[in-house]
Amino acid sequence: MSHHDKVSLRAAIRIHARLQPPKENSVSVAMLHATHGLCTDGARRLRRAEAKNWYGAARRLRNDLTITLDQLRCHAAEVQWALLDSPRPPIMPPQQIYHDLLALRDEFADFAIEMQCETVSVTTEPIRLEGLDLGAFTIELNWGRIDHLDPYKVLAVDPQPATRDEDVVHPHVQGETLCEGEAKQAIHSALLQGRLFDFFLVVRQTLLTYNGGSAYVAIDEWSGRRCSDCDA
Amino acid sequence: MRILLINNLGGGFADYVDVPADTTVEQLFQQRMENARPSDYLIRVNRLPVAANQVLQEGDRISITPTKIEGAR
Repeated sequence: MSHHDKVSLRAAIRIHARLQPPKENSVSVAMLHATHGLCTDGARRLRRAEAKNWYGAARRLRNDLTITLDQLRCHAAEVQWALLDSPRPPIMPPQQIYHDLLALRDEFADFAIEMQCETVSVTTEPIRLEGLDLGAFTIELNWGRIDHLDPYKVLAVDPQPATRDEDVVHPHVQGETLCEGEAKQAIHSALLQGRLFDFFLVVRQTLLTYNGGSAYVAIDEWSGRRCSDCDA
Repeated sequence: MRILLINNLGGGFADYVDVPADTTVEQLFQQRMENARPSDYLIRVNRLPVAANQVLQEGDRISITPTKIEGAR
């Protein structure tokens, strides 16, 4: 067994252990409480930005709050689900997770496991959407946070941000966060079951798809000039 | 025979199902995805691309992932 295979095996065992359900639902309640706190804080910051006419900041805060409220809804559903004692979906055994990690090495341009940071990362091929070159993206999953609000990041390798908002490096990525849209449930399901190959595949296909009806910045506005009056 | 079927469309379905012996990838797709077009999906057996007429084996892992998945803002 090669060094890479041994690292993948060790990671698979740790990831499997991390996926085991808590004996109580106290972890889910704690996350619900934490998410509620983020919503309260986000709402306060948004009110302040709007009061001061900080239009750019208010737009970003509004987007962030929308995401956090959605996460609050998901966490509330998880707590409710635990209370109803519904059967949990099957968690993949370590062998399946191990084979996922081996397959990811061949599927993506770059692949890495960092045991100390508890991360698995892959890098896509350069992405081009409707003539717009965005470069490659690294998808970094932190398995220590696999059941948390933000278990993964999407990082532009060579950022080509929108002119009017340099936080937007992809029509559906702001900062390091992908707005998952249609992918949300499939991503959530894949992570909770330990189906890492599916998780990275779904995220990649989402990055490869342009949804002009709901983008942080539309492709035809990507290189637009910033308005000095209203920061739009 | 028993296979692991994963459908990453929508909510994501992943579970072990029983299918007749000698079922091909194409037949399984048509049974489970009805009017969908195979070209709109990444169909993998044991994480690898396969021919539509490949015959499934006991214990195979079949995943069906849409090629286009719309993000949002």
